[in-house]
Amino acid sequence: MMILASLPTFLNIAKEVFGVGADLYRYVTRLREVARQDAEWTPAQEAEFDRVLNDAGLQEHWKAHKD
Amino acid sequence: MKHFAILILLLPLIFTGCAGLKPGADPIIVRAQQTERAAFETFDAFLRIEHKNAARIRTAAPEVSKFAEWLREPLPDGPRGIALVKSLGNVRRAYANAKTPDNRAKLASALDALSAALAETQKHLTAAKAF
Repeated sequence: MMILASLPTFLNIAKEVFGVGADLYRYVTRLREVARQDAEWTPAQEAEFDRVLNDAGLQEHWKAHKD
Repeated sequence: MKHFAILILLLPLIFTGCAGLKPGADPIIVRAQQTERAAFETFDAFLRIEHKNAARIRTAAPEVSKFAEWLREPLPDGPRGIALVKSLGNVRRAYANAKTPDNRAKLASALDALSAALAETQKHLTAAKAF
């Protein structure tokens, strides 16, 4: 019974740990792509990176907190 | 266990060296582009993790929250972290258009500035991962 009662807590912890894990996995994958770069960007790659930068600024985790 | 998982995630990076450049590629331009991309990815990962754990981090490690807010501070070109990346991009394009010693010196200086912000963020990312 006690195990069942603490299940939501364990699920929340697991969600947070794997959430951070997914962020780190994505980060490492993208850094690997950066390390593999062997030529200057094409205009299309340059435009795509500009788009990524502009879109990122609109995301919640990039917004300054009011307090 | 968590540290082991982080090590597993970092292994591909450890075993992947930097690629050799194709003929015609200017090494300082490629290095600037790599720094822009690596800095953005690092800022983004750090801010994402800090945002998810903001309440805990604000209490236990206020300097990490303070640094995150510094990166988020709105500037005319967007949040400071993005403005820093865009700034290096502008200097890099100026150098690509006119490869003068002056433009090269400006690019090297901008590259150093963004590299310093990147190193600082990596330090805070390591702290933020612990939450």
